[in-house]
Amino acid sequence: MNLKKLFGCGAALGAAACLFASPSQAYDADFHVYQAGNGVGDALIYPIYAVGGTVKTNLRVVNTSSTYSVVAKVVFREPNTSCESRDFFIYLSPNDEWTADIVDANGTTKIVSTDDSSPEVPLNVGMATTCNGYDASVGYVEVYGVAAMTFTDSNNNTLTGPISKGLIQTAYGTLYNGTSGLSFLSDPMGGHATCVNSGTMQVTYSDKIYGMRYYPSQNVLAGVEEVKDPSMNLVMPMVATALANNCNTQRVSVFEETRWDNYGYNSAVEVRSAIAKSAIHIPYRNDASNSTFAVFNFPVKLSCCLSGGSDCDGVLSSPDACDLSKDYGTSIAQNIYDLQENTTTTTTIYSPAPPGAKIEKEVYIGQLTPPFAEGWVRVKLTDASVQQSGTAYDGTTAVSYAGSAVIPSYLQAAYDLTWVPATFDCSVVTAGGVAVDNCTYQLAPNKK
Amino acid sequence: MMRCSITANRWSKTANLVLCLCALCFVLQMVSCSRTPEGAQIISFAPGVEEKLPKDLKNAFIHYWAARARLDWNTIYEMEAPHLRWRYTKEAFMDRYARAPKPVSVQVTGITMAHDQVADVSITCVFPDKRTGKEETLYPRDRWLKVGGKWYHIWKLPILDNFL
Repeated sequence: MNLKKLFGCGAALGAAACLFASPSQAYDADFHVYQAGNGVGDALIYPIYAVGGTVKTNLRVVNTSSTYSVVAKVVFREPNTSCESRDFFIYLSPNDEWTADIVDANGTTKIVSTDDSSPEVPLNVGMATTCNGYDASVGYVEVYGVAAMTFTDSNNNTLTGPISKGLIQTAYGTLYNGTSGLSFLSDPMGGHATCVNSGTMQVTYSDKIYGMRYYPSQNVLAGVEEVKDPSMNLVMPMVATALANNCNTQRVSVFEETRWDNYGYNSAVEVRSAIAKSAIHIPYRNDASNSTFAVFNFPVKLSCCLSGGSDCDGVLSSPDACDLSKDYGTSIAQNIYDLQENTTTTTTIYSPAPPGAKIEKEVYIGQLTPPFAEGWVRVKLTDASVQQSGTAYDGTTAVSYAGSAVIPSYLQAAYDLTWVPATFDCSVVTAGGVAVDNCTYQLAPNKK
Repeated sequence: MMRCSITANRWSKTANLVLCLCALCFVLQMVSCSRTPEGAQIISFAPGVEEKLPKDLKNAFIHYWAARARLDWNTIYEMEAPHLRWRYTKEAFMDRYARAPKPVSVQVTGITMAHDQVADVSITCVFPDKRTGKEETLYPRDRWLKVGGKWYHIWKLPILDNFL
């Protein structure tokens, strides 16, 4: 048996061991998905992309690690129910950055990139028909860190410097094909409150054999987007919301949709708990020259069916099995203040007004039209009760949260536009009977 | 070919002079009409597209984008559609639009006549990005509207029009 076959058998045995190992971790407040205050995590959410005419959106994903190569999946979603409209992998070597533009190409929304981290170079792909047929010329983007890797050469020396994208791509293919079942590592933790368990494999690339050590997704990704109109010198940058400690070991491919209920070491309600807010604060200006728009993204509602299922027929019918947005509507209420702390009982301050004071769309943009020229609004969002509670990844630990799982921001419009993250009151998350303030938790996610 | 010879005949001399002056005026007028406006050098047509544009629309398109290249706001404002000029005074128009940079290039890649009097001209245009120093390539559809026998441009601002 030659060396290559031996290592191949080793990989297969390792994969089989993974299959038979039992899940070791229940919900654990000491190691848990959280919204990263520093903007670095293993998954990213870009709250809106917009294209049309001269408007385009630039995306950037940064691998902040000087050690790990990273494979990540980029997923584009339409704004009404978050149906997937396009996905692909990107391959980032240590210290690498991937950039792409979402553009209007004479009426067709396309993703274009010449970056060598793209799955093909140059990249030029259009949005696909979504499960319920909603248009995806506006939407949002998620980046799921899938796996982290390090490499050695045939002399067992660690590869440093730029790693070939072809090697990373081949390595992930080897990892995917060399494992089976749901995960490529059954226990990603490697001990309590860490995410450093790893496995090894041999990778053949360009007639050479490399050693690969693969890890669950690591908290090394950061992102920024720019919605812009170059024909008007308009640029609106926004830092991507980072979720950390997803610790993904799921075997992810482009043949199956990836979303928060089948990604990472969390259930969907755990992810909702991580980004839950009790209230949003939006300062406004509302006069002839100024207006303010609330911009809310609810990325974990999951009101679309899974792409590829029989319900995903690309046609919106009524009722549509791929549109649960009414069932998952988020209630909206507010306290409105002017600059002198005066308030009002006016409730119809949003244009367009959410029907029944419930936000159904997963990306909502509404103008604030309070009866004052300047002041601030405390927006109180409450998700549907079916969204607010559930069980953790272990399937038994009860988890619930208050408020809404939302990424809040606002637009200030005058002769210019600025896009600003909104401040918020933290949520109280209850897990296994223990209540924690999710902001406090986010400051110290790994307590032990 | 015209002859401007002076003959002994007085009538003939006068007639010839008038004919010469007319010819000179005609030539001057033709030169004036066909002169490419300053800035038009940024405009080009993809192969086979130029012939598809109605002649009056092509002329209007060239004059408009040449004005954009010169940042000639008087011409730009006058060539915008009547409803836009009804909505914005020139000053208000300038407040909103005059931040636009000079285009680097504009290539016409196609045309769709939505109606006899409504045209969507597909263009590939390049604008400088002041912040990065790079050039940004865009692929919008430039909409034109014929009112009273004259083509007008419709300047759509997808972001600002939605939020202001």
